[in-house]
Amino acid sequence: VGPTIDQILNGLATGVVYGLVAAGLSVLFKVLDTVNFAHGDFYVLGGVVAYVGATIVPLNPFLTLALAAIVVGGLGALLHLPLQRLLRTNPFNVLLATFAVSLGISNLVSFGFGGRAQPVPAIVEGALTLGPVVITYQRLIAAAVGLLAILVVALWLKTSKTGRSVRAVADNRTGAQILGIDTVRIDRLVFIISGACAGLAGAALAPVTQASPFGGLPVMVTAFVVLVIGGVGSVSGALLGGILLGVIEGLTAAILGAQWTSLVGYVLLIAALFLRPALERARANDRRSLA
Amino acid sequence: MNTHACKRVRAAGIGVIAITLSLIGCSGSTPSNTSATSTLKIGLIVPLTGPSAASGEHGKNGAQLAVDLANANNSLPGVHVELAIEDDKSTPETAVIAAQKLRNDGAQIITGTMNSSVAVALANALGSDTDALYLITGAQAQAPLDTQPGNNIFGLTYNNAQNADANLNWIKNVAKPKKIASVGENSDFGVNDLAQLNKYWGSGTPEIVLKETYDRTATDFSAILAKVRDSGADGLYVTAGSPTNAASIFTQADQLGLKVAKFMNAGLMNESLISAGGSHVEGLVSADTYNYSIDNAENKDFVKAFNDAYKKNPSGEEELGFDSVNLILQAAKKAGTTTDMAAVSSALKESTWNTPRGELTWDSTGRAHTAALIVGIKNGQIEIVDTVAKK
Repeated sequence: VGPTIDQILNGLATGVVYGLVAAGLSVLFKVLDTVNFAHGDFYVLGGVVAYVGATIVPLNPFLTLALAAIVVGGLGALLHLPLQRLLRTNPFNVLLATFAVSLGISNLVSFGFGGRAQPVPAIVEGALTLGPVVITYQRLIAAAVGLLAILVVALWLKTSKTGRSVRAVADNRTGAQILGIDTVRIDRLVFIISGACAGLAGAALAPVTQASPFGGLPVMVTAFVVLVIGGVGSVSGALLGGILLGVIEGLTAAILGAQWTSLVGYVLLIAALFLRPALERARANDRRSLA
Repeated sequence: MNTHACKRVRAAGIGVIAITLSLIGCSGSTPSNTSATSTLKIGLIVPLTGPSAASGEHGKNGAQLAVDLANANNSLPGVHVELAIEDDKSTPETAVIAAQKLRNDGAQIITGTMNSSVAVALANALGSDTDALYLITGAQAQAPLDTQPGNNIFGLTYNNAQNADANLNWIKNVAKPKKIASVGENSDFGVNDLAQLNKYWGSGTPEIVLKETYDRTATDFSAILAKVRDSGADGLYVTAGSPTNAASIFTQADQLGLKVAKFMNAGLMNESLISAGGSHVEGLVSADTYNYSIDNAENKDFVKAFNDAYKKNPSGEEELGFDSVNLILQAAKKAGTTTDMAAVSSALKESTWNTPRGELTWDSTGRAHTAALIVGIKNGQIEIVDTVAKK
């Protein structure tokens, strides 16, 4: 029983961080109608900032988390600069360009890290023990940071003027332009928010998993699974999808074994891709019959 | 000064610079360069990127030192030794392409390899190529040596069975844990090591109370470690191909408050593990075939040369890298040829060599035999805990 409850809690905590990574990818996809393939590597860069902030230039760990969001968000803005024209003319080439950026980041980090993951000390060592259940403080911190960040992004999108502009561009880019919204600025802002989400998630989870140069692709795949489960463009959906995936992965590891967790992610992805259109058709039928 | 004088001074200056540069050029050449009449190209295929990059870098350091020393000492008179390095990225297909490239470039001797799956693929590619000699540096699987029609493949490190014999017997008879939880990577290497666990600990003490496997790309081991905690094990045995994974498991075990004796598969005790695991790998025990503090003349010379070159003590993988090139060069010298690989192979296999690891011999399959060490981490240093005689 102990390992199963442990894994539900661990899955909840990890799932929140998955949700944060997917939220960034989701917002960018909804607004720009394209995918940043370097998103997973932005997560890796968050881990790099955490490593530098913890070991090379010792900083307050919470300041390091903020710094990871700022630095990687800034890189998002930088990435937007050369992509501006492509976003308007050929979104497919954005995929190729960001894929190239992804390879570049992963190779650079690998070179800098000597081809291996680097340890990042926990912000708080030790674990919370509640009877048979044990969960590390670091994982709880990562979950709290992830949850807080998702809430901030969701509230900002819902209540602030700029956030409403982002939603307007996401819903109807041409209409938003007619209303005088600077869509290039919004695009840049979305790259920043998206990068900050990935960077913060990478920095929050690095003390649990180490900062690995090779973590980008697995995280990107996870974010896609969460995106498909939770729905594109929905921050709350990303959170719920992340938690669902985290808990299912945790239970799979506890019951079947850790080697099956990756497979479960892919099975969920395929299941969601098949089931989602049917669910949406059913909802549409319900709405028509109610009308 | 008039214009004519200026020109003469300038010409003289250029002359002085030219002579100086030519002298620098001469002094920069090693004696072997000037006297070399032929070049011996040795292909080194190691992972320089990917999850085993640290091991590859270690192998490269040792091999490069052996080449540099051979050239500086003119070990093969009239022959300049050249190391052609290829990155196998820990993938068999990349390694096979690298081997083909090296063979096309004229390299008859191929060494390196840190992953068993890569060694298997290269053995298939080079096993019937009787013009080639393939000396596997770090991969432990025995399979690459089992089928080799050309008798031209050698394995320098201990195989799984040799490691298990030293490591698992010592844990069973000296450390004496009562219950062991085994956590191993889901790979051919991990499966081989698990088979050895079943063989040595299949009955009696220690009792294997948990067998869990993980994907090599995994970074979160909380689910497995929760099971370890609930298994009641007093010993945790980790099988890992990369120090990063091993360090992650022991770090996360400590973070979860697991109080267990820590054991690990042989051959992975190195500075990368200590760097990645820090205090969490303190007290960890494993087997190895090398430690820089081994007391013999060859090792003292090797450690001094390594320190001069890299300003640090060599790891086991670095010593293996050194041996892989050094033994081939010694065998070539003994055979009196750098092109007849059958003669070099015979000279290598039929001789007893004094290496930094101690006396080294080869069995009929081409596997190296030396004494084994039981090593542990104490105060951030790898220390020899015990010695197991050569079999």
